[in-house]
Amino acid sequence: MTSRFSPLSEIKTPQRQLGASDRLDCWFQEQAFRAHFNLRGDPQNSDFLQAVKEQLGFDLPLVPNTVSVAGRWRGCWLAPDEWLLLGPGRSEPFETLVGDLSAMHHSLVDLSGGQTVIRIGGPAWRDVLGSACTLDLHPRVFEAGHCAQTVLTHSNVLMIHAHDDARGEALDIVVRRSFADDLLRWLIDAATEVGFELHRPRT
Amino acid sequence: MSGARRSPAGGLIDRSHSITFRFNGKEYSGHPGDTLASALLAQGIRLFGRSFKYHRPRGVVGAGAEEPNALVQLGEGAYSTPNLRATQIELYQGLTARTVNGWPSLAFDIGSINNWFARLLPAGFYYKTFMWPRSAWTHYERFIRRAAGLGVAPTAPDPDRYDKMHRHCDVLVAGGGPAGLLAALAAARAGARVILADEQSRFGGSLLYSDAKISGESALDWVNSTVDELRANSNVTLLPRSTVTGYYDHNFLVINERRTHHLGPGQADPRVSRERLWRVRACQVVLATGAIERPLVFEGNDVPGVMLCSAVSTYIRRYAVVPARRGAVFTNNDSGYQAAVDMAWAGMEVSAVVDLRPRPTGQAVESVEALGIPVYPGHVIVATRSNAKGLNQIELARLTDNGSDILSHKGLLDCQVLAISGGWSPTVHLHSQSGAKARFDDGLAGFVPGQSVQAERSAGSSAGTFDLAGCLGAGARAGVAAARASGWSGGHLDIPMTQAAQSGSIQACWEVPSTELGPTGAKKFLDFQNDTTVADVQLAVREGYRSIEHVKRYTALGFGTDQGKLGNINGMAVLADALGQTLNETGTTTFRPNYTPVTFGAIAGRAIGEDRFDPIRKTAVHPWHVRQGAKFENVGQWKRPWYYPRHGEDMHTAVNRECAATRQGVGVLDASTLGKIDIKGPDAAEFLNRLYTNRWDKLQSGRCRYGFMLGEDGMIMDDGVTTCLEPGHYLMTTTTGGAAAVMGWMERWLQTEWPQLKVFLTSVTDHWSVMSVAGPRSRQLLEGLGCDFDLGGAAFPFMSMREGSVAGIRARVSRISFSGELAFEVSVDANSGLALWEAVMEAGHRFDITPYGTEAMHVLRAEKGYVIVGQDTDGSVTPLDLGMQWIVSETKDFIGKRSLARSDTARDNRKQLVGLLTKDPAYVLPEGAQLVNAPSESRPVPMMGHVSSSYFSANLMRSIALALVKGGASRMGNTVYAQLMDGTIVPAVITSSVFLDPENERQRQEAA
Repeated sequence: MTSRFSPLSEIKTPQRQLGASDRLDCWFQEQAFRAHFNLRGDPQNSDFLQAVKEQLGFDLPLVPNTVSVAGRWRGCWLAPDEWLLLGPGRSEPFETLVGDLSAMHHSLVDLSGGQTVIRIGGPAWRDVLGSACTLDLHPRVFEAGHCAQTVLTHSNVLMIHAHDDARGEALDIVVRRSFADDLLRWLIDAATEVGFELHRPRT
Repeated sequence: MSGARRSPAGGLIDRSHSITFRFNGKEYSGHPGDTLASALLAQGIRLFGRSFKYHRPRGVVGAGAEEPNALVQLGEGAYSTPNLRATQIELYQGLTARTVNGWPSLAFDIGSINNWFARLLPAGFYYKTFMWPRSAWTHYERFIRRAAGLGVAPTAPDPDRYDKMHRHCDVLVAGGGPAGLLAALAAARAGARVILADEQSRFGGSLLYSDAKISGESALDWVNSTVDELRANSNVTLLPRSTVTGYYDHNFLVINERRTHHLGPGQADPRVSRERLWRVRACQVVLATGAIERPLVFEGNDVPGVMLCSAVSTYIRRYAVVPARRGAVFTNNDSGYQAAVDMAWAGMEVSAVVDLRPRPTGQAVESVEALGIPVYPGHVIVATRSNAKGLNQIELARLTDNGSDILSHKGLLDCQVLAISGGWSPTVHLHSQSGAKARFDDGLAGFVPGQSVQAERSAGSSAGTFDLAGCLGAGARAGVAAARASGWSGGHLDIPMTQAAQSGSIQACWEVPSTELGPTGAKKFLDFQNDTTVADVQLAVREGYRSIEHVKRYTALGFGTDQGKLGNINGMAVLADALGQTLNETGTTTFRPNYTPVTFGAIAGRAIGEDRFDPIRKTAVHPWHVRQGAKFENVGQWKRPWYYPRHGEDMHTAVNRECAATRQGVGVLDASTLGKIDIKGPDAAEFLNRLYTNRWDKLQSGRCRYGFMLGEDGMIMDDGVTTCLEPGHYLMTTTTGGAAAVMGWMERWLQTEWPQLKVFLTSVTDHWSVMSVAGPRSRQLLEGLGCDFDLGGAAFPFMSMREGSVAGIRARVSRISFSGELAFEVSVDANSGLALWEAVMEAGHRFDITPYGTEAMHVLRAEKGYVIVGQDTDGSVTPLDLGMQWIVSETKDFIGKRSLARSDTARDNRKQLVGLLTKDPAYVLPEGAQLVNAPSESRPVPMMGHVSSSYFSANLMRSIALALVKGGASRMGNTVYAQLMDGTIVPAVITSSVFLDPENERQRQEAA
């Protein structure tokens, strides 16, 4: 196996910096080397929906800006006929899905090298995001099972409400590879006042 | 001496600490809690600046955002901020400030000569005089601007941090006075998400200088307990020192928070921003922005010492300043009497309350008379007298019964402070900015909010409710209603009890009649900052101006840093009177954001500098390029290696070396930035047929084709190579800069015009890391690297694609060439891009493999005459203009086809792509150079075209250029001339645009 480099593996920023109140109220961690598959298909086609459900275990979300989860796979609504499948990698059920879909009009495109996930958490993560994000991320409005697409600073992103096994409530920001470095450096700068820690990428 | 001093007790200042500061170079002291204005007033400083046009001495008039005169340049060097209102600057240790008007010095002002020549400076003076002849204006302007003063922008970079915060809320309350506090409390108790913003350092508004009791406690105690409850509520965001400056569509409001100004330069934690711009989307808005007291307009109303009644009360009660030994009041309504009460409370002698109403009665009058202060009903002040320190006498006169004329002259009264009140103007700025139209209320003699057009309601004095009990009630009701409208109806709030005040009516007065008896003939100022007088507005009407918007621009009424907060209503009323209109007919000028000035720092936020102004996109191989010392070029938002200098090479040498190596050995280019779109579906070939000028339905799996995409106007929009991966599945490449636009263009056609086509698009630009391995040794290199498929020309012809493994990495390899050499484009999952690159570099070591950048890429492609869309085309070039008829299908339709038949697109002397060879082979033409048939001294010279690309070709050992020349295709061998800006004339011969290998033998190289 040749070496792989995730988009943020060589980012040049401080790893840790106390905020104005001598605290570290925000953390970042790249969720590297996840499988990202862009799925497009006809939501009116029950065979299409059924094929996904059988192999990945969830109903594709048809409600805008929602997420379906089964095991380690997440399906995020992107558009009426478009979803992002986020998971651990190609596996048997996934390969079966590829085969099952082949008979119907669809598109299943591997974007795993082209995107990454920046996970952000800590008590002040909403304020840090608030410096760039025009959407309402208040817990009354944006909660588990929700996702949203927007432009953060200069980058098109998909944001997914997340739960980090080690650190609790968090937000996953799916960003294109070429923008990832720019976005993370921007967010880290935004966290200057509250203090931050940048954890090593989790693979 | 004016007799100003500090009261021995009281006020919201911290007497246990002293602060020293400098004003106009002199040292003074004050206390925490002071503003710059209050600290200076307490020490007898009355002269704060000189007026804009006549350079008249001016003092503080107000105590807040309305202040027109006391403008200062605050701080030094990079921290310096111009035109701040001394009334809103919180004092800090070491503060330095100077007046912005009054060059060369405040006491002797050279510009005050204007005052003596005032008759020569009427309204519209600049328009009438300096605008003709037009060319002279640029000459006059320098001197006028200098003499006009106003602050200086610092030249050094701003050392502070500024940021932004986006926030949504259920209820935004603008203004934290009695109405705003109760509105916020009511909404918060109901469960709503609330933002409460107030421009001052502490909440309370008018309660900060009030002696009222609320629910049995002092107003200040009530404010404190209310703010404590709000602060404890996690759904409430309290923003002191925050001005709601703009109200935009869809309840989007902007708040400018000044976070560390009050600490002084360099004193704040550098991690904390100096200012924050809050961008708030509110479900409901409560405007509790208060009201601004109006001046009275009489002769000499601008001398230092004439202040608003509310300002006098504020300085006395809040800042414990006794502004003078002796004061007087001039009013047309009851609220002015409070200033007399406050002056007496502070120990001042009060000479008189001059009330222009003929028969004022009621509580206010009685309370003043009980203090032994003489009240002059039906009287006015017709003139002021001043000495070097400002006001020292006022001249009293009696009005006729109908109030329209002066009846008799009543002599002079001594006073150093004259508190004036012409009534109150509700602060309807945000209401008006929201798109609503304020209406004039005759009973209140002021503009009040009209019909709301967005989800906002006004409460308290901003809605024309001027008594405290009324404000508290209105605030509570507005808070409950706003919360309910945003879906929250819980909680409970009792309206606090306070003493109800009876208030007599106001007698509107927009201009005090002039006296025939007095000697004065002085000006009656409407707008202190712009020196606009009653006479100026009347002159404008005589000269034919009718619209308030035109009169504003002709007289400067309402311009400047204060935007007419004091003067506008009086000015509009004077205009209405001169036009014989009602105030509603005359109307107001447009209220625009921002309510008070906002710094550029706050507007820019953190989006400054090379790092954050524009995004920087990087390829997977970027770290390698950096380690190699590559020079980068910005292409779109990407950083692309431009060239890789070795051992101090200059660009020319490096590019020549890179070009030669690629033609003779092997070179590599990071081509990852090209746009890539996955196109899938049974109608994909038909879709491509419609998008591109050439045919796609016969393209076999594993084969590639070059295409041009045109706009509907027939002009080239983008180009690239598209590969058929399998039937109904294609991978399109686009230009680097055009990727997003092309994706949007394609989705637009699919979604809006051709929904019946079964095609799905997915952008895969970032997924593939692409390296172009080019040169005669490229095949040998890849074979050595290990490929699990045959690289030979027979098995893997030009313009085809193979999938397999390269150096152990799954890859797509395409035989595509933009250099004209044998070349292989290797695409891999970008996570493996760097690994592949390093493997290629290592395997290429024995071939002296050479990485080349975009500059060498440009030279190599220009040698072959390959165009770059956006460089050799500019949105006015068709494929036929490029001589590429072969790529335009005659047998199918495509976007832009019809436009190619237009007479103008089809004519034969359009600009056409040609090659240019300068007669001097060493001379490299500048790109953009204009071409003429014959150089000429006379102008204009007929332009024949321009140079679009120009380089020195190391392979040809001479310069080459591409150009667009009128009828160029039929002018081979002709000489044209580049006539350059510096007069140089460069002859060049028109040739084919292909300079090298016209038979394309190099890139085909079918034998290994």
